[in-house]
Amino acid sequence: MPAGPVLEAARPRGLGAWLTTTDHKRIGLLYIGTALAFFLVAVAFAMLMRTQLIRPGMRLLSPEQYNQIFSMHGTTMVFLFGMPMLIGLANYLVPLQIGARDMAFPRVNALSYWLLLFGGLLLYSSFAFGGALDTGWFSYAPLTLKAYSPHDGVTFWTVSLVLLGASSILGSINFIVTCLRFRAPGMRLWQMPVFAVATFINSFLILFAFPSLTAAIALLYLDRQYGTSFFDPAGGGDPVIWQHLFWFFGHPEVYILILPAFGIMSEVVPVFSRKPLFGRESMLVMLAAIGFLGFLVWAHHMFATGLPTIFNAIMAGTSMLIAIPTGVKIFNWLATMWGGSLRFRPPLLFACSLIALFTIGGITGVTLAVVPWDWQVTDTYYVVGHLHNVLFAGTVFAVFAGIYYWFPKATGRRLDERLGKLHFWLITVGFVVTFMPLYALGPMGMPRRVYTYAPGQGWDTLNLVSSLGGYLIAVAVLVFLFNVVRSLRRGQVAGDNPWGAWTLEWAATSPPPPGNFTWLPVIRSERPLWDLEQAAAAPAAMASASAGEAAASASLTYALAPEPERNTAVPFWAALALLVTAIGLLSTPVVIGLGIALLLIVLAVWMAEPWVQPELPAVPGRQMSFIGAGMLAFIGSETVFFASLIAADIHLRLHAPADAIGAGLATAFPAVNTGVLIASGVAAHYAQVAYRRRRPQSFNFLLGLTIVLGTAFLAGQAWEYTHLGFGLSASLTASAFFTLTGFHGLHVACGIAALVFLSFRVRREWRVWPGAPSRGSAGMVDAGTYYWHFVDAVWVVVFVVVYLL
Amino acid sequence: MERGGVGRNADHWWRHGAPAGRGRSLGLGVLLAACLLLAGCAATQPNIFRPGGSAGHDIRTLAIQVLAILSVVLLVVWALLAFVIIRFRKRPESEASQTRGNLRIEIVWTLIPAVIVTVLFVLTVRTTAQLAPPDRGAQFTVTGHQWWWEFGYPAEGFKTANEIHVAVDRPVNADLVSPDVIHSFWVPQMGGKVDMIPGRVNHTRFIPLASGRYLGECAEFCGFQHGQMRFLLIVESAEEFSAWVRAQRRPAAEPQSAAAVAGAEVAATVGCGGCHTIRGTSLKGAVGPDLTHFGSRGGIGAWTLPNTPQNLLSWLQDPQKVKPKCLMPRVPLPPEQLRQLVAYLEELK
Repeated sequence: MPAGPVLEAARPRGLGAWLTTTDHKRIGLLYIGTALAFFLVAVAFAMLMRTQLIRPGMRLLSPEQYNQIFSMHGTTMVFLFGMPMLIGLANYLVPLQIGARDMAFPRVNALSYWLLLFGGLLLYSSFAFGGALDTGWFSYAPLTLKAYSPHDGVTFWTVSLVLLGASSILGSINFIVTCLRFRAPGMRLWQMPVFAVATFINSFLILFAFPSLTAAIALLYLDRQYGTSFFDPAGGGDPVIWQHLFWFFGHPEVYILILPAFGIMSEVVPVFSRKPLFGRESMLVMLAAIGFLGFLVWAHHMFATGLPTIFNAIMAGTSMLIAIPTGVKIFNWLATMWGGSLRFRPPLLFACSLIALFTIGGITGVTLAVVPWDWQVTDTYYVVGHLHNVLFAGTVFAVFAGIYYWFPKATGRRLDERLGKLHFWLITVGFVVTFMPLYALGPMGMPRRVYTYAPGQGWDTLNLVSSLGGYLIAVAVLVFLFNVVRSLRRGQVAGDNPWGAWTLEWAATSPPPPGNFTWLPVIRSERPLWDLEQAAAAPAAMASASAGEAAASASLTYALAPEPERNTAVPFWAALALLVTAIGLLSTPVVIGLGIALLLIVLAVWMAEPWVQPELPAVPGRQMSFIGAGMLAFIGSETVFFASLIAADIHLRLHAPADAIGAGLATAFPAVNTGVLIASGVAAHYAQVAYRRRRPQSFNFLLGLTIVLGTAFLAGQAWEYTHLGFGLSASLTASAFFTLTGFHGLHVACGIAALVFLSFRVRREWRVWPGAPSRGSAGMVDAGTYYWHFVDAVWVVVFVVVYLL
Repeated sequence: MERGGVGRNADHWWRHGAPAGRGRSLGLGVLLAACLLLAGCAATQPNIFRPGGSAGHDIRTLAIQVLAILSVVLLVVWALLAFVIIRFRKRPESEASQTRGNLRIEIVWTLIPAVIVTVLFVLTVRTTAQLAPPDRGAQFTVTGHQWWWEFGYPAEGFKTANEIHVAVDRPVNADLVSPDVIHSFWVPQMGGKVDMIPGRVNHTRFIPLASGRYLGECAEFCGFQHGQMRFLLIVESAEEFSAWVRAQRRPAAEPQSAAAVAGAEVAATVGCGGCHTIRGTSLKGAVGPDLTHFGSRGGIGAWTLPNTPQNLLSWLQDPQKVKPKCLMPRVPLPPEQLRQLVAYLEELK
């Protein structure tokens, strides 16, 4: 198909182009490049660790240094390599795979990336400010409390994770809405390529898992900076609550890291076997099953903490259940290769190696669900072996397969195959030599997170072997890097579809233009290009059909108008404003205020700038606006956030000694205030009705009333805060009160700001297009009202929990 | 002679079979323990496949069953992969069969893992229940500190540190607490680990079946010196255990040699009593390990070093050099006083 002309409006070049891009492909590349850079840092840390452990009593690293390095290695690999790499690949590919022109919210997409970069840089800056996180990537309390970790590394970690969490949650909202509403006409949700389905499912995991982490780190921040006692037994707190909150996030997190990898496998294996994916429906169901079950297993990280036996048994059962969908997937990939015509290019080599080695990791995972065995090997090198087995031989190998597969699409050139095979063999052997000994070291009694070990315990040789394997991995990574850098300039030129694949991204040029496509095939199945090939190869069938059928089937493809590039610096500035706010959380409230002020200005510009949304495929029937859908996803996430805080609060108040709990609170004034807030909710509802009925004066009045009542509510809260007579850390009740009402108040404040912006936006729209159908504000009005109702609903629950319980 | 699961570190861990039954262990235990104590051997290799206690045995049995079942699964996957790679490479594309699925096969390979998982679950629940919850009566309390172990016998009225004795074939019940951060009590050859969590009291219960010396470790990251927080569990006959208890209950031995007498004087004057207790003297500190019978213990600094006069001298010269960031500060003393202190401490048997 000929490529149409691409609009070359005056667009920024060079660095400016990258800083202001909203093109999902560029953002994807930014994510991937950043992830690779952090990967190299984390691998370097690993080399330091393995060298420190190469023999007993090694003095390369002090315990302080070692503890920072292992903690930052884990944190970097999970949050700054694993997630950004997978999200970057998804960012690049999902719109292409579903025939969309871009993501649903391109500016938010850019914001997500800059938040990632700034969050990562903030985290690493802690090295220069007294030392980085040194309490492990899952940072158990009370070790992380100020008494035992006086330096700021832990605080930097909590604040950076807020930025990173925001980045991930915004990204997942984007993917959900894009997959739901921006698919090419005719493509059903389950007909999306498996990688896109995996990303879609994964986004729900991110949405519902991350808020639990946010709650945990918020409480930790308060314990460290404001003297509360959520995790400190001296004040009635419970260290185990940290573990529950963290692992409720942490376990889904590892599925977040593997589901897209499974998606990549399901793209690569069929193409390089020249067959469709075997059991596709089952594969999609199993992805969803793994995602769902992943939320029910978190306490298998806590079997040794002394939880009730029945609870341990349930968690063991659910943890073992996950083996079933995972095993089914392995069999499906094998069956896909069975009877195929196998092409052992690097993508398939990595896929085979994943099948061979990830299965070991899956199996050792099942053994870790065997509670008594877990009692022996948890917190030993057996777990280090297991986790690297699934994340390295799972996620990382799949990422490599994906990079070799999609590099031609993104750059127009192939990666060198001989170097690819060398990379493959070095890293596969390196992986086995590095990590298989760890499965023995654990049962031989070697605990994890030790900076050194004593001689004569039988651990020396295995550690030596493991370290040598680590060096081999480092060499493999260097080979890969060299291949990438070299192939960018001198790689063999690839066409649009060098692998003969069948999903939509291969219908675009290599690389695709802004707007991705100049033509699209009519979607009939999950292999659109295969269908096109088959139809094009059977013209005789068309000749014998009736005239009507012939006309219909003749239109196998259709053309698309070119899309302009959209550049704006606003997302960059918004991320910067949030970074300033985060720095304020690490320094003084003045800087927080500065950050918020900057953010409000940037958001005003965001709302006001002329912006053309990417083309939304026309789908008949009345549907919720996609902005409204995005808001619902966000509300889902915030619900989990509040639920986590409330669960923690209730648990603590049920189990703490009476003197730590503290006295109850007066309810008369808050009850009145509640009425004010509910009234504002009623006003908001009727404002939405007025908007839909095109009644500007009613709408303006009612929206204004909502804002005024909301502000009155906040003023009431402020009055209550200053007249309570106790502070945040006075008791558990006090801490719960300030935390829950405080975060709720923050949500109200954000809601008021949003409604203020909305009122200006709608006024302008009606001024410019009086009487015309609404130009984009309808979605925002919906979103604003859903959010406001959510804030009301949360308040009712918070009121009951804080004042009445 | 049967090995009886005793923890000598001579051979590789995979060569040892299951230890002898309980009856034989008792007699054997006495003989071997005597040999070992006389031989004064070093800390053992803490291998969970060489169990010395009831729970350790139960878990080992379960582990072998589970690993056997799952190894079969792994081998099946590898065999299929190997077959597929060999059989279907380099075929012309036209021969690739365009099968999209096969419901019957898919049901089979969903049900088989389900059956396996059910079997594993049943085995797991059975063994978990078997490792019964502990009796309420704790014989001693284990307190985890950054970065050493305190063992307290409230009924007998003594505390010791970093080394503990128990009687063979008798159930051991202990309370596990921590005043600072989370630690984890783990003697690999006795059974699973149990976390020691500030604010709550956890329990562990096991029955040592074979006499010997078993290494214990902290198994929850607890800060800088988590890697050097070990203890020794010595399993011995009932008579020897009673003898040990009697010895521990006595106050500190009077110093005999001239150097030791001078050392006692040094200990009383340079501030050791700020952190340490030596019962029967003026030292009554509660921050660091109880040193009343330090001379009879085999390790220094929670087994960072074996307890020899030379090592003790290095430790006293600069604990921060031996165990950086540990909570014992460096107290500069002239070499003569250090040697006297060493003499004194080594005589505290």
